Amino acid sequence: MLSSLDMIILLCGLATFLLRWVPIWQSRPQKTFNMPSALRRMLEAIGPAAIASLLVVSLLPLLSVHNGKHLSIIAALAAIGIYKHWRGGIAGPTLPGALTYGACQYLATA
Amino acid sequence: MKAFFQGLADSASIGVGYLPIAFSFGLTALQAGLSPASTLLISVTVFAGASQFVLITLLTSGAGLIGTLGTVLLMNARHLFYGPALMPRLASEGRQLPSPLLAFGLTDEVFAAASSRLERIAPSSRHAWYLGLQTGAYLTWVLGTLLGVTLGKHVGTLPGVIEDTLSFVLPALFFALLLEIGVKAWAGTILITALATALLMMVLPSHHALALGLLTGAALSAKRRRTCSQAST
Repeated sequence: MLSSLDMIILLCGLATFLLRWVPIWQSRPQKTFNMPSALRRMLEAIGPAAIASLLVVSLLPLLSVHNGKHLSIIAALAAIGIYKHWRGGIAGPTLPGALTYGACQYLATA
Repeated sequence: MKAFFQGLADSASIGVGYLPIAFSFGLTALQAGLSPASTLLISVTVFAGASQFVLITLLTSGAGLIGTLGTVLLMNARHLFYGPALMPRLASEGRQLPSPLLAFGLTDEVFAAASSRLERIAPSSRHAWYLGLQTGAYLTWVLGTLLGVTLGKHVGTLPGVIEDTLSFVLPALFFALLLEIGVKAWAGTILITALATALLMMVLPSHHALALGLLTGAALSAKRRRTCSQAST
């Protein structure tokens, strides 16, 4: 027997799933093919826009605190850029970036 | 099958970010008084990072069904735009997944990774690759929560240097994805979106700033690209 708390959790899960599924169900390939060009251009731009927005939302809280994290962030982003240029990929550059940030923060507080 | 495993391997960068966050979600939920079973149920059924943390507060403070459901819907409303943006790139002549399966694992990070990499996957393998990507991300999220509820009380708090390192995994992932998608090709979109999101964060909670920022950036970028294409003809 599910508790009322678990029922709320299940409904939240269902609601989140519907938010993801209904637009997909509504935009099956045959429909997107005939989409107005302005909407198609906007949907093409949502991917890069989402990544830029996610980066800002995850970085800004670190930058806004005056605790000397700016240099660590710059060093980490540079490490990601260098590794990405050198070897490519996604997971590869992510790890050195995070490690560089951790190491810089460790050195800054040591 | 090969494309599925390629997607699973490509989910590693998401998994590295998800594991510590899901672990801390499990730990936070237990400390707030939720049972391990309810905590796992949240990760298994909701699978949406930030709203899960808010859900802990809502559930433990006795917020009712309407308040809890309304808050979760508002926080995850940005997901409405991910599916339609992804579908034209996923359309392929190969074996296609049923739409509920495409939708289940469509988180911010899965969408971002798929947006940046789908064009490089052979059209006939895209559905299988995407299934691998979201399966890897989902399993890591559930595993991280499971570790949080089972080991969390023994581990306590992590050393500062590890916490610092883990706190930068997601920004590092997003920056790597930005480089992957092509900064030069999308410079205008990226700049407009970043500025809009940063400004919105001054007056709105981050999940609303994220949704409105990406919509503003995408809409202005579409308008700008239309003007550019008209000027070139």
